[in-house]
Amino acid sequence: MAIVETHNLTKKYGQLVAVDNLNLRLEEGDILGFIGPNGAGKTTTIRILATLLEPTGGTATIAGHDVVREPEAVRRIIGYMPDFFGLYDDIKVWEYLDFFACAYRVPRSEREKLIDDVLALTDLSHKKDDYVEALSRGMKQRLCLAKTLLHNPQVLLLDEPASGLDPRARVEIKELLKELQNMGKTVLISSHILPELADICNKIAIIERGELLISGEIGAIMRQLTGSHVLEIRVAEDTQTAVQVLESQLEDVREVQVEDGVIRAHYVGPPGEHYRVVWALSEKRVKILSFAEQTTDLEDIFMRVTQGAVQ
Amino acid sequence: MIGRLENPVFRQSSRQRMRGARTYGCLMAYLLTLGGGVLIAYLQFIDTSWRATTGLAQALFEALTLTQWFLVAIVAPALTTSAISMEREQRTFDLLIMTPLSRFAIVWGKFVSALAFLVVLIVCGIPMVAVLFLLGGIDLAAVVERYAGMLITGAVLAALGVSMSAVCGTSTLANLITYGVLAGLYLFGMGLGMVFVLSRAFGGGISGGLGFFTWWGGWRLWVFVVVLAMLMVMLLLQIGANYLLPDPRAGAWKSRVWTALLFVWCMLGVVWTAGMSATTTTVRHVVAIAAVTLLQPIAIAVSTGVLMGGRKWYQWLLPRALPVGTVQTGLPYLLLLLLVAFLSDLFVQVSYRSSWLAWAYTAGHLWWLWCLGYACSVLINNRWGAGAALFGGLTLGGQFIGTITMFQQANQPHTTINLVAPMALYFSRTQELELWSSIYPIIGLTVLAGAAWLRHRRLSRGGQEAR
Repeated sequence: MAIVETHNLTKKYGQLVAVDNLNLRLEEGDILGFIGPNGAGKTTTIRILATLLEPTGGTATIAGHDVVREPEAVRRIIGYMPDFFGLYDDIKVWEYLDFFACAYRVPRSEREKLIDDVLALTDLSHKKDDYVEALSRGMKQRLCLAKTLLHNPQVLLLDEPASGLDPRARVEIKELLKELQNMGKTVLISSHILPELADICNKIAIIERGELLISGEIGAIMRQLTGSHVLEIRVAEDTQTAVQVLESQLEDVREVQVEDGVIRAHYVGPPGEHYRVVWALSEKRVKILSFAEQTTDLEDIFMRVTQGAVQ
Repeated sequence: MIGRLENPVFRQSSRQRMRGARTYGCLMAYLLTLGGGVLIAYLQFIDTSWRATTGLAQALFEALTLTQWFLVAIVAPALTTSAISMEREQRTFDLLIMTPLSRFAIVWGKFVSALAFLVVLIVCGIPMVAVLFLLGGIDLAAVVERYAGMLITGAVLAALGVSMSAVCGTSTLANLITYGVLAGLYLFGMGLGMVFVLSRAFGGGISGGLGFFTWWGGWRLWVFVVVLAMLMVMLLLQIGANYLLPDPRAGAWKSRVWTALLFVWCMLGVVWTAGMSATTTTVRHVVAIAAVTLLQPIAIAVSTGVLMGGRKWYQWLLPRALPVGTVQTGLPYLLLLLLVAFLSDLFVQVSYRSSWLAWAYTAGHLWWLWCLGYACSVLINNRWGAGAALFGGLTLGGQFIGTITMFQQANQPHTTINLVAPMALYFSRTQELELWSSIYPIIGLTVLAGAAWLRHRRLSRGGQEAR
């Protein structure tokens, strides 16, 4: 069952179409990377899902609850982290979290432990009694994420969680997201910084000018776009023999190239039967040092799908 | 149970307020101004003949409480005009609104936090009164009345501030509107006081009308004022809460319910005083006059969609073919309130009951106002613009007709004034009442037809519906 689903979701501002007939589907436990250039409609879509905007047309449901008709039910299920947010002045870290825990109706007796737990998860325990304005940008992002996790939401909507962060803070956020993935949360994360999504997402959706260009599992999209898997093979000495074997004896292998001693070949055969390539090379006594499927390059997919037009 | 009643917004706002150094600076300035007011009064008392008419304690008490009242009225909006707009400006609004807290709980938390600080301000002044008690001659009941009055004024103005803060996008605009309303109220209060004094002095025509206010007094006035203030606070906060929704119209039915309750309470007050002042008032159609006076601003608001626009409550009453926007639903609402007024007239003594003609005229006038408001909302396509245009148009129209009539014979009734104000009803002119009872429906329909045609043309061209 889809936990997040949109059907022909549309949002117009006068003549401007911010989101155009968007159809998205997330299963439980999915981590969806929502990719698009600035102004593509990512934030608008997330704000609709977060019940902060009403769509002009179409529907959006979260765990079966319509975001327009049942906003209260939706808000209990989701945790939303906006792209730009502020924090209250003259308030300590634990007070900030206590405020939101109270707003989410967490019983008073459970609040202290809960706050300690989310602070530990986001690695902010040592800042518990500090004022929020004294935190660094990365710490503020993590504090906001801690706030988002207070009511143990099923679905997380994270809008550009790592934007404006230095490389170390970005890595920390990425680690945190992996932790959430292990906890079984369904996450929709938007970003235009592609490498940060590549490691953690199992699905992607690319949006441009409000239109969904492509969505699905990263591997499937890659196959859909190229029709092949790229294999990377390193051999000991007999590179020429290996190339010959690949080119002449294997029908499922195309476009064999050698670069810096690494053989790259496109495999178009049935998925999961790459071992035939290894067998064929082994038969000819080729000494294989390494054999791997090239990891999917999100940047590559993005550049192929989008036209680079920004609204 | 206590957990359910806990309001985190109240706690957080109060905590933030009491932590800032500005708060203590404000408190210090407040106490110094208060002391200054008393000192000036003391010097005046010594220098002038004031002491011949009143005692020192009495004079200082008057000066102290009036200064305190004035300061509370100034400070109350300042505490709240940035309550919601600051959340928007600091980008904390989205996170707050995403919580399961109800919209009303959010504005209520902000309001109570401001009210609590106002109580602190008021209580801070009490030691000065305690010192004056030592001089003697101060009535305890007067002290209680003054402080209750201060609290009521502060509460209503704080609620106005919270409401404007939610309605306006920025704190600056919210401040401008709230203090504008405050200044307007002062001017209106001063004007009303002058009219009252002059009409009493010269035995003018409306002294009887204002005369029944003199029957108010003691506990009756307090009951009326306290309930009135509570209803006003609830209405203002509800309007504020509506503006926290993606579409404010979704919560409009709640603000309409509070408006209706406020109207019913005012009508009860009218019926009550009309009964008590039966021997002094010379005004006829007491209830109809009160109804039309109270319904005029409501008609402007609902016909243009200002503050109380709504599409959901009456949706089922209207045929599907009629596109339900905001302002259409204002008409059945107005008629419902008029029916309440008509029914309340049954509780007034028979000799003071409004005639059928007066009610027909009242209904006609409100219909005409609604048609004008509808036309404004079609032409301007923005609720604030339409509301301002209608209010401004009526005021300017009244000024214009009033100026023209100055050059004509004073004793001749000037019937065109009925276009902007129900003067025929105020002056009980039967012929005018008959004439305008038949004119209002016709001109209303004409304006409505013109506006409907314009709207149809705009919609067929793909324009946007007025909100």
